[in-house]
Amino acid sequence: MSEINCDINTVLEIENLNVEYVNQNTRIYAVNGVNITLKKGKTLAIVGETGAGKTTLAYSIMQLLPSRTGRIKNGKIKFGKIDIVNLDEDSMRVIRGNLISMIFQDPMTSLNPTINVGMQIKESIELHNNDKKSKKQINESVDEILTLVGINPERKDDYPHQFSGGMKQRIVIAMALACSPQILIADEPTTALDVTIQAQVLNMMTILKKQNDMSMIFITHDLGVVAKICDEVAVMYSGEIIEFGTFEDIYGGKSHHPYTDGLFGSIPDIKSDEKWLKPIQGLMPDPTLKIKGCRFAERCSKCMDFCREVHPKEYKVGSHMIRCHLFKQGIFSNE
Amino acid sequence: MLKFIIRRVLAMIPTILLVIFIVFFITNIIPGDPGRTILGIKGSAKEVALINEELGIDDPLLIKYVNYLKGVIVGDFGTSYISRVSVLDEISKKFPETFKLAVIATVVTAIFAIPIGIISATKQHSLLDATIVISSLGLASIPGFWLAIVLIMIFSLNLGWLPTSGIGSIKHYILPIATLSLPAIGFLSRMVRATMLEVLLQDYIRTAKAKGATRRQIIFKHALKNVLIPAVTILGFGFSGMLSGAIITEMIFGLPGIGQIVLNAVRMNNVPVVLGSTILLSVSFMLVILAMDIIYMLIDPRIRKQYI
Repeated sequence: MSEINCDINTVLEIENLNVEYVNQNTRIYAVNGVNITLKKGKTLAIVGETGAGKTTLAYSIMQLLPSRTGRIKNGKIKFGKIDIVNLDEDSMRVIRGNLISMIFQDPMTSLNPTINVGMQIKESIELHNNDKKSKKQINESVDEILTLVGINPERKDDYPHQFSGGMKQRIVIAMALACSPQILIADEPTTALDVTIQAQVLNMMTILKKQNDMSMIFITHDLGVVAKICDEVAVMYSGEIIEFGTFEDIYGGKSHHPYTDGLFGSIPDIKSDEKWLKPIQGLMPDPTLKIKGCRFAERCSKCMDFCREVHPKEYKVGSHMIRCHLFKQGIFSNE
Repeated sequence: MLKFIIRRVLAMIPTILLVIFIVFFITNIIPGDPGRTILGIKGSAKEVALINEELGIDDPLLIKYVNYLKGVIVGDFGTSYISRVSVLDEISKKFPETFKLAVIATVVTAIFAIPIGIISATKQHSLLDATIVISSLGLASIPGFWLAIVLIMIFSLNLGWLPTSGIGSIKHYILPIATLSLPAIGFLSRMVRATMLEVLLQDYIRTAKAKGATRRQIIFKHALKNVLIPAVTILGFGFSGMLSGAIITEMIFGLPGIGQIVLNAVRMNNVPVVLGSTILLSVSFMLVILAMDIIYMLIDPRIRKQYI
């Protein structure tokens, strides 16, 4: 074991995590050397475009990677003092849904269509019924949690198809919160919902997080959503965290990774009269390639010759980390 | 639910009328001389003509149809030309035998095929799975008549464990049921396996995993119900197929079922029996489909919602 981080405020610590998907002839490097820490009661956003490895990262924490292809090559995921990576399936099941819960992207398909919602929430509680609640107490808990997410408990005998998308997502959230987990991982929980419902669900999640004193990992590609609820932000690109900082660092700080600049630059400004959106040119590198230099080099407007040769380290100033050669000396300290 | 069943049963009436109409007209187009069929070669021309007149053979088609319908409503399907017994009596004596065979064969199929399919799916990529996949393909491809003969050869002639044909004891049913069930087990277990594999990839299975459910709970609580719908479809069609199509099996094993009656009636141009048994079989087919729909509704709340 490496030196244990004695900070009691840290609930989850990921060290140098590498995740690969392997099949007969290809090897996909999905997560490459990720380090992040999640603090108690805080919300960490993981931002990045499709295919950046955000969901793979979340599945690694939950140990839900596809068993035949996905594997954690090395690294540690420390939940308290336990390293989840080496945990056997039975012990992991105790953690899943109980201490760490996850909400998935599409509420339309995440609920079982043949089981009524009350039963589905009840199942979460029954699976981790450590304090031996009676049947009656469990039913009361189901009612309670449904009320908490704003759904009339009388509807617990209804089936998922009888609810709207937003309500389904609330039920999914209710299910995830049923055992009062310490960590909630939300994988794009609002992507499939329209904007008004998004706001409702986000507000609700923020309130519930405070009430239950949870920590949250919030995965999204929507920078607007991030601004609303997050304390810390990690920007992910091609399986790496390329920038990490507090909300103020990312939204207020002057210096950013060129990719982060590009992300913010691609948000259209309603005040100015622009004809075209400003996308980041190019595509993310092929995840099957091992890249020697900076993974963003091919798309970077500030790319220097040695960017293609030398992989940038994590350069830190205070709470703010940027993985870019530009910030090696001097430039970053301008902030 | 009861309202739904009543509505569906009422809706069957026009279908039955249509079936009778079609079968009636087709059997009327077929050339034949009922009087001659009844009396055989010995009957004189005069007697034949007399019987034909009695039966109303030369009446206009529509009148014959209406007369037949009138009979059907009071349960009179006519009299067999050959045995001179009421068609209803003749069929109702033999139908239970076929029905029994079909029910047992369907139950046996379900009992074996569903667990085999589930085991195969949950152990995907294992040697066991590969064995099941290959042998079920083999079973599904075997034609029934060949299987019947091989089974008789092995178990009756060589080993002498089971009788070759006839009825009487439970032993007599083992081979016919095996003949009907084995190919069905092969087919259904492949189907269950494929559906189970697909269901296991669904998002709600991932949700169940994320809750901390065990593999067993995931398969039986979350996946099984979703797998049963296609299984019920296959079993239902298989069952109604066995009601009408177990002819070969019945012939080989000398079982007195509806298959034999139909076959003989067609061969002898015994029109009332052909008509009666066709109507009976199509009604039982409709009832099987109704039963399937009810089972779907019990399994899947989304289907239930469409009707209630």
